[in-house]
Amino acid sequence: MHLTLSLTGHGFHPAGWRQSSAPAIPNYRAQVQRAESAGLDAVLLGPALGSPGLLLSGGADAMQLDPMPLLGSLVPQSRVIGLGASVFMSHTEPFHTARAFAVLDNLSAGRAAWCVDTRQLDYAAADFAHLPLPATTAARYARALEYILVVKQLWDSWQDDTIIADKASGIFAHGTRVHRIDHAGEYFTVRGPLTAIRPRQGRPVIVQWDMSAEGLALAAATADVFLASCATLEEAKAFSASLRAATATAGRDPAELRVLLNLTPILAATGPAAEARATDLDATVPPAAAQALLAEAGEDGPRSGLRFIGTAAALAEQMGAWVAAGACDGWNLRPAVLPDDLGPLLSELVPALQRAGHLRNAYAGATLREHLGLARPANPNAA
Amino acid sequence: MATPPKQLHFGLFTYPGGHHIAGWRHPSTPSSELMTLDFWRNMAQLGERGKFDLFFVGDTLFTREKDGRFFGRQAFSNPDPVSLCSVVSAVTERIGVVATLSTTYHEPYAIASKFATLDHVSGGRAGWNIVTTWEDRASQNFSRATALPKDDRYARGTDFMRACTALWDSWGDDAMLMDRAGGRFLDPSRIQAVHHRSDSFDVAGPLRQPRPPQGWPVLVQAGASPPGRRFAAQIAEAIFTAQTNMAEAQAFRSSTHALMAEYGRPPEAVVIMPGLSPLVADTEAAAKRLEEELAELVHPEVAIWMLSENLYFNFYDRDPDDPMPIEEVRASRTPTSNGESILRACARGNLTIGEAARHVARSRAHQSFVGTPEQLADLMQTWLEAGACDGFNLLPPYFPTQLKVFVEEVVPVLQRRGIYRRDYEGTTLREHLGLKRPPGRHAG
Repeated sequence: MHLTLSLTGHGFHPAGWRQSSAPAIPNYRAQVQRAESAGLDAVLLGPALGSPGLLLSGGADAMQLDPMPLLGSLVPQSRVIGLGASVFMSHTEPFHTARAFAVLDNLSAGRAAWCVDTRQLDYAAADFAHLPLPATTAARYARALEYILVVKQLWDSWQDDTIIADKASGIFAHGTRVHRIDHAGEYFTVRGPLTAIRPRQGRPVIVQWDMSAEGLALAAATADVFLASCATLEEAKAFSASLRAATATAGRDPAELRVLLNLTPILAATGPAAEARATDLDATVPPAAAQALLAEAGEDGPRSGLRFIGTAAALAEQMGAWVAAGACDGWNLRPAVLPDDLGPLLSELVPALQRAGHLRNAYAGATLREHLGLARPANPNAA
Repeated sequence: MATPPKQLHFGLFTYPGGHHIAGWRHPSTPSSELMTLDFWRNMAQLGERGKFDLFFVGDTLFTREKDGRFFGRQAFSNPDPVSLCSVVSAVTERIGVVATLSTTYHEPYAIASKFATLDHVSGGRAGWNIVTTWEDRASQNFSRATALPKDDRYARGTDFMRACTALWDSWGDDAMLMDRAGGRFLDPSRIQAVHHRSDSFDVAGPLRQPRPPQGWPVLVQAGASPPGRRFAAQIAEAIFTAQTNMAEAQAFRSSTHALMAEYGRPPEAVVIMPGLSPLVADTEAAAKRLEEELAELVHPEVAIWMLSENLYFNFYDRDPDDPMPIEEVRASRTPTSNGESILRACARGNLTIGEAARHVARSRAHQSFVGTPEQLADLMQTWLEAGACDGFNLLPPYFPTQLKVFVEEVVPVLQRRGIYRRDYEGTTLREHLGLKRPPGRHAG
């Protein structure tokens, strides 16, 4: 199975920060290095969890560092683990997004993932109120699809074998292997080529998590990894089946898409102890924060997903069983308390999964696509 | 007690391969590794060994072309500056990291957040070289057929900066509480929305992260046109400029100070760093040989291409032995300030087209130097003591060799003369440059 880790400040639980041993700005470097020692496929940064309302309640960690420079700062601190960062589509330019991921993919030697954030939140829009926003849901997703297709074309605008750096002849790059894209669509007009060479992975891994019908169609057409939020085994099986079917309908091989289930484990040595931990966490959400969370419950919530309360051994068993049942290809862990929950997750859960043969013991490849068993995309310009 | 002598400040202006157009062809340049982590780590760590104030990344938002096709006779341009600076910040401990970013095709909230994060992850070493984008070829990558008119670009840029500084100040320095027992993550009374509404922007705020360690990242500016200089006078804390002549550099520095005074800013609120491309060897003769060696590596097609690009004038069909048609160039299109500085150098030296092309290939618009470490130290000391600069933004002609020579051979001379630090005294970029930390709205 595949295993990724979402790093969200002091933890995914709104009261996680009260039990966290981290300082105000957590040490991401140490957490990434621990995840890498455990052999995880990737660490994912973002998406933003906090509204200004939650932030100003004063009772929750609703901080949001920009995941891109944060990802950059982790590149030299790790060797092989994948690194993903969430980027809002609503107010960014595909050219900038394509370029930043191309550069980080090359500097990390093929480890970058772009986590697509399709949300158009009222509170986020208030920081960009001067911008015209797509008027309808259909327009919003049409724009998102066009955005992703532009990014992919920009990544392909340099062929892989363009740079020869031949000092004797004075030819650095083959001019005929760099291509304009001349995209003229409904939402974007982009000439290209990109001001960055083709990414090491061909295209960085594209991660999505939008569970709406439109989000599903977008993922079917464009995603490499989908992070699904499902509450039960049956729901997960049905969701995965429908996503795979939509992928086939979109003309892709469903085997090109990895479905991971979002999971927040609350672990302890015994079941009752874990129950007590969960109760304690839930009870210590400060009232102002609880109110703010309730007020924004209508927004497309990245906080939804499965919660497991119990022992590491029982969780390992369930994770294996769900993969075997075809509910998913793996899991995205969203620890309740960071960095503290990494202890049991990485030193108990991961070894239990390895012993049961569900998880590899060491990295077999060098790039994130290799960890995920995804092929390196061919470049249509090379044909 | 005698006043301690004024100190030099150095920027390391990076460029894949080097600033000389043929730098990538020099035998010592690792030209097939320009997009690897090792290349950039080596460069940044060398700069830090030389106690440089900052590592500087320029930017271009379009690729090099000739007749509408990619022109591959030269190394590619810089990686995405913020990404590169964030990577470099993790392999260095003291040197500042300054990323160029345009206010034309970005949004203030997103950029305030980006630079605040860079300042956090680097421990207070971030700087932002603020530019506006004027190239039509760049605008075509951002759904616009042509660039914004200059006045609009600067109006947007000024407005953009107001929004960003308000966002950086939206948190008090003491807003974070982390009071676990009391359930108070932060103090909401120390955080305020910004409600920045103007012709260009409508930004509610607040930022979703604590105030940057430096208050604001160091604000850097390089525009040399009248609106660019006025913009710099209002906001710039470091200014990069192309100056090839000491008297002109003195005039530039004093007129910048005068312009700043109109906005109530004292001269010490800015560090002025002209660009300088040094080619250094043990003897003058050896340095001259290096210069010739590099000149030989410039393919004539590249030199003429570069001159045409810099002056927006087609030299491809001209005889390289003809004198530079300076007035014809000026008449065909008002040159940029960079172009004007090239034309002035052509006039001073009575250059032919071929010579002008080689001059541009050597240094672009910046001052170049060829000689020994002592001679370079003399030049730097003279400019510093004459009030022509506060330091230099260094453009080594090829990397990493010429940077290494500067760090190992020139820096010790300057240190012995007492005009350059032997070690960093502070930890933040503001401390290296001697700049004050902005107090913020919540201070006091």
